[in-house]
Amino acid sequence: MFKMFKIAFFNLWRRKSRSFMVILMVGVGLSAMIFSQGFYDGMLGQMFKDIVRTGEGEISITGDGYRESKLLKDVLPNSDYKKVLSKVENVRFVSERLRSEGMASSARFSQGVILVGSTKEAEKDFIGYNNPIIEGEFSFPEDKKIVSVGHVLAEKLKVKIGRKIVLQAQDATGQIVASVFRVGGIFTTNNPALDKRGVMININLLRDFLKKDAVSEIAIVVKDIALLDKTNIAVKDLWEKEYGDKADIKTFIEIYPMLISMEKSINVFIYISYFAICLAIAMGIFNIMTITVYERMKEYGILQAVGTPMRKISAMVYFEAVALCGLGYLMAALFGSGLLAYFTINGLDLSRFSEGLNDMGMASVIFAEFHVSYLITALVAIMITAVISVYIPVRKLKKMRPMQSIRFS
Amino acid sequence: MFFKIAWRNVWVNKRRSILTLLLSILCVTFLIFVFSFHKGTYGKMFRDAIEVYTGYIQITGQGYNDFPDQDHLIFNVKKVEDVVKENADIEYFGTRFESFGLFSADMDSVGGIIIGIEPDKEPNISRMKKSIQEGRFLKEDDYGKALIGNKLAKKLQVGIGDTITYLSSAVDQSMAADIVEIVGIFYTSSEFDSAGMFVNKAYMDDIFYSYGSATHMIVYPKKKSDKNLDKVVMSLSEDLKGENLDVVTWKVPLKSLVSSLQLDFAFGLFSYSILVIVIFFVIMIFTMLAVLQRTKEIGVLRAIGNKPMHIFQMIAWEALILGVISAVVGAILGGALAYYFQVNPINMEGSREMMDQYNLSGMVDLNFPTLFSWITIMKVSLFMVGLNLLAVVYPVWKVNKYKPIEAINYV
Repeated sequence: MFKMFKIAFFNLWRRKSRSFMVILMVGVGLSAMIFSQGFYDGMLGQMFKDIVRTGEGEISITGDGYRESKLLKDVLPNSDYKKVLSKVENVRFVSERLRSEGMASSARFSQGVILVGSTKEAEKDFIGYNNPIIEGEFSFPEDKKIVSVGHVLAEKLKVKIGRKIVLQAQDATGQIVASVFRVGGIFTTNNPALDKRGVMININLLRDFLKKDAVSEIAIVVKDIALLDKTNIAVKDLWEKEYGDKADIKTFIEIYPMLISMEKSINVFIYISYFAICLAIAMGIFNIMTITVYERMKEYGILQAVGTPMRKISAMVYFEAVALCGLGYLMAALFGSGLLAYFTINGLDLSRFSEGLNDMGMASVIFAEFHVSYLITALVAIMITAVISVYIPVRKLKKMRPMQSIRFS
Repeated sequence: MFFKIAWRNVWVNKRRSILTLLLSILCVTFLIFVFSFHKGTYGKMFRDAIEVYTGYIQITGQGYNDFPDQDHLIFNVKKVEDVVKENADIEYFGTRFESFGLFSADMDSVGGIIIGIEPDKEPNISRMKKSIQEGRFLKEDDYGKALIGNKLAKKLQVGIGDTITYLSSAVDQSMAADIVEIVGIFYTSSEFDSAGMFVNKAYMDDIFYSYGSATHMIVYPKKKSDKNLDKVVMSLSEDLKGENLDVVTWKVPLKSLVSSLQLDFAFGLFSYSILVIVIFFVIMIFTMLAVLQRTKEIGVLRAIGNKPMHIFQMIAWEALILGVISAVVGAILGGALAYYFQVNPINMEGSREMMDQYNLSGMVDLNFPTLFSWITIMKVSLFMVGLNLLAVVYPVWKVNKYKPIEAINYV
């Protein structure tokens, strides 16, 4: 059998230009698909991370009914949640936040905002993970009236570091309260809600401002995302044991079903693209292998006549197709992986579309991802394509008797 | 003569011709359909975003888009109205005054935007009146009445007949505050649903001291093509020279939507390009096999005096025949699909959640039509013919490399 494979491999180079064209076709098609997968996964992964880490975390705990109402009456009372929840095995970071709608006014302009009360220590693990600060310092101390604002909001209010803004909101007693703060930092997070309307303030300052000693959400980031559901159950059990109160505990998949829909849509799109490209490649290989089989029909006839079993001859033809596609795959694997490696490190700069990207919660520079599964998918797809493409020519060959093959014209 | 030979050759090698035609027809049909779908979908998205509120043409104070504050208003609304009325290309217009404020009800407060509109003119320049879900639209004599978005109403837990308080700042920097009664709740599938309150401009002028001023004048031209919009913008800019005003098309206030859709198209184009490149290679392989099979024949043709250019012509004719047939059939099929889905838009209600997260302005219904366009069909068809012609270059070059005697003896 090994001799047949050797013959098949040398047969590839009898018509060099033909073989090179197939290898190039497979190489270009597959490397583009490998790159697409890595690029889309990188884009989605960044979006997930940005929305989850700057939003409600991978597991979010709020008061019962708060997610719908967003009212101060539905928040959780202040307690040492971080210390308690950190005991759960897979929990990595915990952040307690207090949120409220309000209005920010500068000398020139006013804008509706979201006041997010937290601490620098908690947020450096959450929002701070991606060096969000553009100007100033990502800091909101308890003893000074300093806030950090989203970059789109800062631009709209025409404020810079050190400038004053007036924050107004409705406190827990229903009164409209206002106070002056200085802008200490301007950040960008790729979370449009935060960049356009976010004002980060020390949680205790916000509690005093709103006259409510409370927490509106507890955001948790886990160590191993594969254990998310198990961790969610563990958090729920611990919460019931420690606090007994009703709370709304959800994973980010339940809070942001859109992200999962997007991921599914992109996967479907990738598989449809693979199908379309492999179909086109299959037509090319089918034609080439049919011509190849017809050209060498006499040769196969002689092989049969000297006693070579048909299964070995079929294997030789199959192997030729598989080897052609295999070489194309190798080219694709090298080129596609190389492209992905480059864009994983340097990112693809799409700042030309930054307005649209920011609106969709995506960064202007997108870093690709690389997983071995891309190469496996490409390999399986092209091998199936190779085998299916050659089926009809091999069937034709199998029907021929040795004398028919030798006399074939 | 070469055409006759090419025609014969096409039908002699049936398998190659059928496979090339099949591939090319599928490619043309697919590309016509997807480009029609992109154009139709984007057109709908733009139309919805423009017509729900933004308007086709906006006149604002100079620099208002960059500095949307009280110093960059239209201060001479009457004069601008007179100029706009004189323009024969304009069908409707209306003024608005926008300001940010804090809305407060019993349970909660929310930052949002207060917009003073002209109730008699607004229905002609936006879809606000059609978007009323509960209650009624504003009347010309309404004072202290408001329309609010459905999400805002839910958040503040208010309904028709309830009152809300708002706090803002007037044109003269003094406090502007009042209590308004809700007469209507709207749903526009835009940011206004969660943050917008509409009042009568005449009422707003009293509270905000904005007499004779406006933040926007929205102009609704008779013809809405890009060319006509640019013409109207130029003519208005000329007529309003020296008035410290900006006249812009919708592309300026909606630049982030324009950017998003350009990006979406770029991603789509990248994916289609991969398919087209692979199809190009396949057609080139088919052509090369068909040409190399006839190397002896070509050798004889060369030997009797035909030049390499004649061989190229002959094979190019074959490519042209296949290209034209596939372009025509593909154009009919693709065009039929594009026409069918223009008349029967594709319903994507199942993607409502995804669309809502993108906050696509004004898209109340998720029925996406294609756009049947002869220009798209022509471009794609010509492209396919060109692709088929390009695919013969390498095979012809390869076969012409042989001397006639080498070609005749080719194995």
